[in-house]
Amino acid sequence: MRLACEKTTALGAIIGLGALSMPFLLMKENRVALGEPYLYHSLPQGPHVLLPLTLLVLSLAAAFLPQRSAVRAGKIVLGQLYLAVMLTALSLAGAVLVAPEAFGRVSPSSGFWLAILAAYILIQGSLKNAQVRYSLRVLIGVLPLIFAGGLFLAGLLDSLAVVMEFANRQARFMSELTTHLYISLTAVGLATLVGVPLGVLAWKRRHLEKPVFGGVNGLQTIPSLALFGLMIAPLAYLSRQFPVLRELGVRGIGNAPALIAITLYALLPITRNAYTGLAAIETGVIDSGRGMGMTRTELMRYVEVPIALPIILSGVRVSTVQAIGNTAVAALIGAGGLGAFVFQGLGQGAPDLIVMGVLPIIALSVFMDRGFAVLIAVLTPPGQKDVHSD
Amino acid sequence: MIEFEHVVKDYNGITAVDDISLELSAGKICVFIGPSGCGKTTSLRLINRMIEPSSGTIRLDGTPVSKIKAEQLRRGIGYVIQSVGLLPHMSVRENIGIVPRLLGWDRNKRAKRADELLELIGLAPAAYRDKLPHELSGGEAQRVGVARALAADPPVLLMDEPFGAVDPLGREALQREFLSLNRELKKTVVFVTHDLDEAIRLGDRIVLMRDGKIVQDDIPERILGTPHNEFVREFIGADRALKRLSCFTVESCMHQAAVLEQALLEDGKPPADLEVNGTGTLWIVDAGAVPVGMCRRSDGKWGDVRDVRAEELGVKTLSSLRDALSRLLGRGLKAVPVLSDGNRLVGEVRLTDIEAVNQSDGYV
Ligand SMILES: Nc1ncnc2c1ncn2[C@@H]1O[C@H](COP(=O)(O)OP(=O)(O)O)[C@@H](O)[C@H]1O
Ligand SMILES: [Mg+2]
Repeated sequence: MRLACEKTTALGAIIGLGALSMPFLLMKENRVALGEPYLYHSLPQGPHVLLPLTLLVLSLAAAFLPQRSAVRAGKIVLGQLYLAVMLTALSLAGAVLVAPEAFGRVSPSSGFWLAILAAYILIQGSLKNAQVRYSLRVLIGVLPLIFAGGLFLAGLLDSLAVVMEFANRQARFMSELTTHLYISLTAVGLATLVGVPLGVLAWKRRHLEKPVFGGVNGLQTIPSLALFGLMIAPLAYLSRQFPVLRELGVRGIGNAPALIAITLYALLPITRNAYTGLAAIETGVIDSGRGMGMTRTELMRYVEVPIALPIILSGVRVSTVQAIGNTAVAALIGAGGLGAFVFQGLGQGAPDLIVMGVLPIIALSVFMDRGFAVLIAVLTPPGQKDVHSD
Repeated sequence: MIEFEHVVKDYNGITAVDDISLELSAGKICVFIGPSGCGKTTSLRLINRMIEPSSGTIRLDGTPVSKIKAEQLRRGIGYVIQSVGLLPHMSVRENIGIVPRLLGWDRNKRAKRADELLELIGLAPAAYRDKLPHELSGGEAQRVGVARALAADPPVLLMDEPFGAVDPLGREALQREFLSLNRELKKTVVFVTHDLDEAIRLGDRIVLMRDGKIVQDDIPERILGTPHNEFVREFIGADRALKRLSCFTVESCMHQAAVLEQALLEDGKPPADLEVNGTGTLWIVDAGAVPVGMCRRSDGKWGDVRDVRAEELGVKTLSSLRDALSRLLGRGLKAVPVLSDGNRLVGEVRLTDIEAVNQSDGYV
């Protein structure tokens, strides 16, 4: 008999086992010190190494068992427990290690990050093919985040360098987060206002299809940094010529060029999907709709919007995730946003500051991506589900 | 009634419809036929104002259609196209209910009407009402398309090659069903096709077009019997006699059949003294009157009983004589059974009947 194996879970477990042999955290005497590595089993405090080892071995075993519902439920529990153990270990060990040092702090190291990756894969594996209700699935996905948030709020992560960086910059963090959201969401909003009509135009007027897509495709090929650079000179010139603009905050650097550049970037996915959305409507469907006596508005309401909207929203979804990333780069031309921490950290040689900027950027992207996925799933009419799932 | 009065449609230089005048009587099926590009679709779409004429007038029951608001006009005219155009995101029931919805019917009334129509077109409402278009076969989708066009009970139905995308067997079934449906509903139907057999089978009248003009406008038998010119003759093709058989339904010339219940067989044979007229064919039926066997009498004796499968051998009352002929010749029989909907035997049609039909008009 051939041994059947559920590969995702097996992979997660193996990565997890590997992670145990790597430095779990670095103990640093101060902000920019290099730090001394600790492996998991040499941590002075926290769950014994046998605990994660057992969880991983059990997961590995579960991967080779027939995937009955009990085994599936077991995998879900194992994945969640493993992640909780890792977070707990980090928090407990950190507290003990940092206590005697005035400026001491700990940073998670390769072993910890690999463990997080392993946990992510294990959770994915545990949800694969499992008949779990959508709401429960979402809960399983966010439970680790809630746990980590709880540790943070309870002050149990205070020994982490990232958290210390955060504590020192709390007010600024909030304002950069707001700026980041403001720039990316405004850009996506503008891109939607321009891109959807552009896509519709390209669809309705066939001779405009080439120039429209030539334009938005071309924009997409310019590296974002170059595009930001390109904005600086003309905007600086304009703001010098027209004081009104300067009063509105339009300068060569700062928000305005970032907003324009990110909007231009966000155009392609939205324009393309608006076009594809309309193209997805068979001509016979429009023809019979008109033939049955639908007015222009009824045709939109009953035919065009229900079929095209989910596809257009998928474009907005891609643009949003992309805009959040691009906004991080925009910090380079003084636009602000979470990217500011990243570049500041790079400048000061403080890796934990970089992490503090990067983590919320990733979180924002994931949050937006999932949010749109849910929205699109809700808005997709049943007959179209198989046309564009996820 | 629909009238065309000197109707012309020009597309920058191309005259798609060239000065057509016609009167289509109510309750009849009129078929527009002709080679591709001859202006059939354009003529059809002029009626519900999907296309506006360059000149001329089209009247619906005396009122020029140009005087009626386009949307309102279309809601009162059923429209069926080859690609069906069911809305892919709506269930069968919702699709059928579109025009009623546009007309402001409430949900219950729409649902009831949808079930009624599904019943009418032979799809079980319970099984079909919640299906989505992509779950239907081509034939089923086209039936739903017809039901949708009938939803608000419009007096006029426009059909543009509605069965063109369905395979030949399914197409024949659809044609038969549609014929019997319209006997009941008596809609004024304008039907576009390029398939002559279809035109002959369905049309009360055939309008043969070429280059935007009408070449011949006649009842099917006369189109086949007295073609106006070489073009018509060529369009009809060589097998005129055979095609003409499509004009007649089995119903119009079937005979009473000799029947014996299976239980009355004696040692597997009919009673020796049983006499039958006609072709000497006796149909053995089961208790539900479905043919299960046949037996021939020759020289005053019964031959062996042969098993038959009703649905393979039999024709329906609305099948054409042409179908009947192909069964007769294919099986080397002198008669085939005519079946009602439940495959019950209602008569037989004989080779001699078919010969008589053609000989009567000097065809063979
Ligand atoms: N929108 C249009 N623009 C230009 N020419 C057209 C258009 N629609 C139809 N035609 C032309 O008009 C003629 C008749 O077309 P149509 O009525 O669709 O023919 P059929 O349905 O008989 O195949 C054809 O020569 C076709 O090319
Ligand atoms: Mg056509």
